[in-house]
This record gives sequence, structure tokens and C-alpha cells, in this order.
Amino acid sequence: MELARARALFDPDRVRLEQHDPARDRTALRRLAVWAQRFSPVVAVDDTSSEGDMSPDGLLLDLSGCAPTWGGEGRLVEAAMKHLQRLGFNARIATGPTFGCAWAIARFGDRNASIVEIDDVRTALAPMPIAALRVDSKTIEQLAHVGIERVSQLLDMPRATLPSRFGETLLLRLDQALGHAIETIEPIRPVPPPRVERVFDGPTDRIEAIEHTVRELLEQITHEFARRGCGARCLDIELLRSDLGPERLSVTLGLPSRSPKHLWQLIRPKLERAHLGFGVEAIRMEARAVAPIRHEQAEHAHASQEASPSEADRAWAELLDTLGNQLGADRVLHAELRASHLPERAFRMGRAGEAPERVQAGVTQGDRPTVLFEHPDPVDVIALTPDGPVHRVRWRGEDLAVSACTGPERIGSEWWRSQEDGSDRSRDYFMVDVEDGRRIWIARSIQRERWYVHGIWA
Amino acid sequence: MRTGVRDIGGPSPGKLDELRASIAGLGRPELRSGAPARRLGTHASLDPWAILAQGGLHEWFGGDPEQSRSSKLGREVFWLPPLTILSACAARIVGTNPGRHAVWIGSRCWPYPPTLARQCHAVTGTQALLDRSVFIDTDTSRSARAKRVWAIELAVRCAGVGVVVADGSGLSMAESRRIQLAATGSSSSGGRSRPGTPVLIARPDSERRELSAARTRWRVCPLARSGTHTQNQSRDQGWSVELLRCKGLRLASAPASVREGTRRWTARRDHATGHITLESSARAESDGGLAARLVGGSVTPGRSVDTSHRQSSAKPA
Repeated sequence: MELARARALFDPDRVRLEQHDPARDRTALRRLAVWAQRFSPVVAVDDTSSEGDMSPDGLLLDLSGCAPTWGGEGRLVEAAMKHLQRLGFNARIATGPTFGCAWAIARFGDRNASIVEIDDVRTALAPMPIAALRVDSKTIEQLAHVGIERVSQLLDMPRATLPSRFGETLLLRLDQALGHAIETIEPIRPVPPPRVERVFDGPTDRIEAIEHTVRELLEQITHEFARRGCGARCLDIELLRSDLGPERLSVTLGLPSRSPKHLWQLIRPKLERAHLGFGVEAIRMEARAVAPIRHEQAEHAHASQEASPSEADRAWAELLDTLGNQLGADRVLHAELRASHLPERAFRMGRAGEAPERVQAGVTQGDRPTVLFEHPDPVDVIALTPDGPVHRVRWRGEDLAVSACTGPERIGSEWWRSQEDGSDRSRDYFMVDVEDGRRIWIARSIQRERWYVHGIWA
Repeated sequence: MRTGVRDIGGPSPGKLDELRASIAGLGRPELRSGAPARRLGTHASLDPWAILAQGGLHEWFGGDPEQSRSSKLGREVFWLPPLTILSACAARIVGTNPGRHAVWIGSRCWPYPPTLARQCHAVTGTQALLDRSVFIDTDTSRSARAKRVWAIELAVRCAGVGVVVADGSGLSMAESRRIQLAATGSSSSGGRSRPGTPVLIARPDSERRELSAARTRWRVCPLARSGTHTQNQSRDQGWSVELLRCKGLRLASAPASVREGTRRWTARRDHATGHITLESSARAESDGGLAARLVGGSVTPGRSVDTSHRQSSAKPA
């Protein structure tokens, strides 16, 4: 569909226009190829279809021997389809005895996922158009000129006449699809993660020796980072013990780092707590995740031009790493506002350093307390009328006279969330000023007829 | 005949002052440079926000009204820091230091995030404070206090942190001195100096008699209100804020009533916007021209204002 037509047909807000960026497509496909290595060790980016401006849009996987680990080809295809959909891709998958056959069925077959058995190659290919044979548009045009539009028609022609009229490629592609010619693919080779290892002469349980070795390994691995122009986001250390399984220590970082001092600060407390067993035989260090860091000199040269993390930002990231590694990542938190009128759901605590969820939530209009109790505090209340203002409050053993009461503000439960017991969680909130000057937020549960203190303006 | 004793003349007052200043500046990088001490204002017009924005340990007591502080059972367990004023301070400090972050240590000191965002919105027009806040939970075990002190010290020494708000219950003198040293920016090696970071520590009122190395001590009490039962008449909430101690605030001769009054403010919270304003209780009484002034960093122990040993009434002026 043309752009102008799409714009005329649909609501202009729903038509999003985006510039085609082949380089980005290529990078994304390569990343997807790395991801697809979970299905097969041999994965290649298919660039036969990249004609002119078109980006490559397929992956080729050599499944020889891989299907049994997934419980058959059918299961494998099913899993791949499910995972790709979860990643947000609409995929078409076909497996076949040859790459050419799978390519054709995936693109021109009538189902999203199909499996071609070894005996059905010819019958599966026969109804396909000529374009399914991965030949250039010129050859397709020439064939169409003489009335050949399907592979079956091509198969009926005498073989010997084809190369002289339509070139060598056509016959080669036909043979590749049928399995008569060999086809090789060029699999991607991801760079292995930086990794260093040191084996001791014999098991040792001397912590000084282990610490010294770890520091040496850190120097080595940071040297490797510098060579590659990257820094560690996640560093694993394995202590191979003589009598037990390996002890694994892992540190994660907010910003990539290749400073041995900072990494050592993160590792040391974990190393001190590590269980050494009867002795450590070898130490292995591997950076599971790395991210590029600009070279120091480049940073100085373009300090003002590009936004590179400043010293304060780096110090901040290091602080979060240190706190998270020492106290546990679940104890270093970040708050974000959520679009909910329920006070306990109006925010969410997440791990600091993780990308926030970007929920549309404005600043609350209503007055809310500065402290919200995680567990509302039961309270006894005297009110003159059932829905009327609060007159006296008995809270934590204190009998308090009320000097002013504002409310009720009714906050209903979220009907789109199913309540486990089908109960109504609506509450009436009162802002109550007690005589000694404190202001507390009292809620009355409508269904249970109970009063709680939910917050306080401390 | 010439004797071995040289006549050096009478002690020159200028030289002696210089010597005194350099002795006082030992270990205090902000004074060592010889720059004149910052003048923060006369006593009559002390700006509490300016005092709090200075690097150092600022202790806050209370949150509970005076009259109910009498030995009630369970009151010690149920203690809440004066988070409204602490978050207003943090919003101001982070608002004036773009790019800096706020660290809230101890889950007792975590304000309700929507209120924090609203309060920051009232001060700076953005919700920057919430986006740049990190909340640290340390209350796990018996070593919770040690972890809190460790986290405070680590955060204070970080260049990306603008303000630290922490639960300081049970802090010992030595720990407070450690934090104070870290917060004023002096390094143990005596090398390069950093600008200090304000550390706002909340402590229960019962610890007011504990010794501490804090630069300032404050006390907050809700303002009791007379009046009767009225409905749907929301009024602005008020607190009395009292400066109990401020290192470096020298008092000159001023009537005691004025001195008392100038260290006390009334904080008002606007119900509609959440904005906090501080007004001096002694504005009317002050006649100006008081000689007292606040000098950043220079401490004269004998003359520093410290009324924390005195029983001070929290009744609003």
C-alpha cells in the first residue's frame, strides 16, 4: 500500500512514518542471529534477498542434529515462533532438507510455520513462483516472457537448455533447492566474551593468595577490555574447588567499567564471604556482558562535543554498584509514579539503575500524606453520624480530640482488577487534624466497616 | 653589647589573628586556602535554607508534639522523622544543583513518592527530585546501624550526590564525627578538597541529649491548634522549627528574647500545592543591626550556640 493511500484510509494519528534505515536493520538482524544461536550453533544472516536497497530479512539455521534436543522439529519451530512473537516479530518459519527449499516455503508457502520432509521437496516446490528460487528479477522477467511462472513448469523443461538461455545461476539455484548441489552458508561468529583463567599448582585455601590472583586476573581482563574498547557490565568469577562444585561470584554494574580498582571494590566483599572448601584449584574470570566505552584520549578530545558520562555520573553509577553489591540489588531502589488513584498503587519501587517503565503518570493533584504506612494501622474512631466527620480518635493507646476533619474522599477499588474474593475495596478517606497538631489520614473500609490510619503528614 | 635576645617588638595583632586562623584551619580545607569565611547573614535574618545547603551533618529531632512526648508506652518504637520539612530541604538542594542526586537511607526515611514529586513540583516545577532519588533499605539485621553509617559515608563521598537524608537513630558520637568529617569534604589524606554535601539526619526526640558532632541541630514540632470541630475546612498545616545548635554562629549582645526568637521559625505547608514556607517567628521583634553572624566553618566551642542542654519549650511564639 502506498503511503498516500494509507494516510487517506486511516486516522492520521495511527499512521506512523519512519525513515528506512538499512544499517539499523542489518544490525538488528545480526543481533537476532546471535539470539537464534539458542536453536542451532550454525546461524547465518541470509543476504540473497538483499537486492538494491532492500535489507536482508531472513536467517538461515542449520538444524542438523539440533531438533532432538527440542523434542522434534515441530516443537522447535513452535518454540521459535513463540519466542519471536514475544520479541515483537511477525515471523514465517519453514524447515526443509535444503536451505533453498526452506527459503522458498518460508516466503511463498501458505502457512506461517511449515515443515517439509525429505521426500516432499519436489512436490512442495512445484507450485511455487519462480521468485522462490532466489534468482534475480531479470531472470524472472525473461522466464515470464516465455510463459514460465511456476517452478513446476521449469522442472518440466529439458535441463540442458536452461543455462544457455537463462544463465548458470538459475540451474544452480534449482539444484540447490532440490538438494542436487551443495550450498554453504557463512555462519556468524560472535566474539567470545573476555575471559582469563589461572590454575594453581595445587589446591589452596589461603585467602591472600586468592585475593592476589584475582587482582592479577582483574588487571589482565581490564587490559583486554581496553584493547577491545569496552567495559564490563557483568563480571563472573568462578572458584574451582577441589572437593565441591565451583563457587560462582557475580557482580553487575550500572555503567560499563574497566577500572580494576572499582571492580576490585565490588568483588572483595563477595570474595571474603566465599566458601573455599578444601582449597581452590583454579580461578576463572569472565565478563558475561560488556558494553563499549570510549577511549580515554577520545573522551578528552571531544569532551565538550558529545554527551559522554561526566565524572559525577560515573561516580554515581559506581556508588549504586557498590551499594547494590553490598546490600543486595533489591535494597537499592528507585521510585516511579504509576497512573492509579489507589494510594498504595500510585507508585512502584524498582531496582535503581534499571530503565524505568515510562508510565504516563502525572503529579497527583490531591493532597497526600508524606508517609504512607505499608500496613494500615487499625484505629478506633468516634463519629457522630455514620458518614459524618471524625470526632475523636483512639490511636496507639492515645485518646485524641479532633480539631478539624476534611472528607470523606472516596477512593473506589479498581474494577478492572479482579478481586480474589470479589469484595469491594472502596474506602473513604478523612484528613484529620488532631489537637496536638498532627495531621493523619484515616480510611474507613466501606465493606468491613473498619477504620485505619493509612498515612501521616509527618 | 648585643645580647642573644632579639627585640621582636610587641605582638602584632594582625599576625596573631592570622596564626589563629591557620591553626583553626588545620584539617579544614575550606579555611586553609585563606579565603575569607563566607558570611551567611546577620542573626536577625538567618536563612535556614542557606544553613542547610551547607556541607555537614544536620540533625533533626522530633516530629512529635511536645505534650505527648511524655513517657507513653510504645512511643519510642513509633517514631516518624519530620519528612515534610526534610523533603522540602532535599527538593531545594537538588533543585539548585542540577545533575546531583538525593539518597534516602533507611526505609523509615522514605517519603511517599507521589507526595515527594508534588513537593518538588511546587519548588522547582519539575519532578526532578523523584527521578534523581535513590532509596536504600538497610534495616535487616542487628548490624543495620553500621550499614546505615557505611551507606551514608559512601554516599556523602560520591561526587554525584547532592543531599543525603538518613535515619540516624542510635548514632554514636564517633559515628557522627565520621559522617561530619566526610560531609564537610575533608579527606583523611589532607589532599584535594571537595565541596561538602549536606547530610540531613533524622533522630528521635529522646536522643536530643546524646552528644554528636553535628554542625547544626534542629527540632520540629507540629503546631498545636486550638479550635473546635469543623468539617471540610482544610487549613494549612504548621510546624515550629527551632535551631538548637549551630556551630559557628556567634552571638553578640542581644536581648535574650530576641536571641530565642531568631532561632525559631514557623513552617507552613500550603494545602493546595504542597509548598513549604519558613517564616521567622521573630521578624516583628528584630530591630536589625545585631552583631551575631554565621561564619562558615570557624568554630569557637565556648561561644557556639548550643541550647540542646537546655529545656526549651516548643510552644509557638
